[in-house]
Amino acid sequence: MEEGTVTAQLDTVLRRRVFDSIGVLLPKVLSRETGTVSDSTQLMSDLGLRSATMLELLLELEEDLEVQIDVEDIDQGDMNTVGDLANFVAGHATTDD
Amino acid sequence: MTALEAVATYLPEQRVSIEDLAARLGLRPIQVKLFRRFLGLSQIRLDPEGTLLDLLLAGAAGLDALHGREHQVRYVLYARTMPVVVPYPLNPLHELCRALGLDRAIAFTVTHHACATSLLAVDIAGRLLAADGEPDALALVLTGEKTFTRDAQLVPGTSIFGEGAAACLVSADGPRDRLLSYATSTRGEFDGRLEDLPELAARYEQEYPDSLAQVLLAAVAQAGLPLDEISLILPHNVNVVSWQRLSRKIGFPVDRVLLDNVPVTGHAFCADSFMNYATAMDRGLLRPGDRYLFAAAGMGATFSAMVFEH
Repeated sequence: MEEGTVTAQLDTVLRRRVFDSIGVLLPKVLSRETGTVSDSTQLMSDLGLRSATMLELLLELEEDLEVQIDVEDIDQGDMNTVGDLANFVAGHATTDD
Repeated sequence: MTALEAVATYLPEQRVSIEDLAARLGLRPIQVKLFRRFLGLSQIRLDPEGTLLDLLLAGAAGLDALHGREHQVRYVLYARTMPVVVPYPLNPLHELCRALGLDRAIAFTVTHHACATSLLAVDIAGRLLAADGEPDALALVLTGEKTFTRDAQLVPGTSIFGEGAAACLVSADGPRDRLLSYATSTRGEFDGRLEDLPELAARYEQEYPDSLAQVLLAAVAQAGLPLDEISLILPHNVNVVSWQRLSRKIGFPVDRVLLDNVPVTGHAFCADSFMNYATAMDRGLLRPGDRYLFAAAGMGATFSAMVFEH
């Protein structure tokens, strides 16, 4: 198996974990139930997240997934939907060890 | 052409970590972590025993260029973020004028551009001096505020304010640092206590990057310069991540936005750009002829930028 294939597979696995974790953590960050979310759920307009709560969510994800997320490159486009955020985190996460 | 003759700054000695501020500000542990880990804030400076007058006098004390020229000062402008800082009839500005021997100066406060007010004050000072037409006349612009309430110390999830002061001597003309342009935009639709108005806060957050980017680029264009001829941005110290995003948005290298004071001082109200100027001077980051930007956003909301030539 080529190295690139392995990496792509790992990213997909991590992305799935990130997506699942977002669904679990959103009610905690927002202090209310959010129902089921999908890739296309809008974080701001549908769920009411703001910059600060978005960053809180990233901190919770770091703890839950035991990763560090590099936020220096994060832009508005990475925070539009649950899917956008899952893509960003999967692409900018490094393991703690 | 308006010129900055000299800039002096002051920071209180007491350093307070954001962890030690958490109880007073009602911050949860994750919010403290957010400030430190993502927003780049670590500590602020405070002088709990000092008065506002003490703070402003300390800011002016380092202004060597003022000594012996007090009689040339026609205007003293106190630029501040908070509309009200002492109860009537106290007026530390007039006490400061008496203490510094500025008895020929007209002294007044400039406000309502919030944390962008220092740029407005420099612009007003320059225009007043130019209108008077007295070549030796000077204006003194002062900044510095006490963190006297929770609202004066915290913008939730965005920034933490600290104490510090700056004093700036302005002339109508001079060899350095010459004001090339000033762009400002006041968006009154964002006035309100954002903590209580989530929809307004969301709209402000959404429009903040474009609004600030527009005035930065407008100031550069008014100065007749391409952006890549700007050596340095001296920003307001709201936080690190918002400036990282903004610099990417306008295509400006983030390592040329002076953010080193954010973890050291927090957001010192209107004094940030002057403090960052002093840091740039201390580190030799500005050479003669360099063009640089002062940039600030004030809640309420005003977005401002000035281009200077060193």
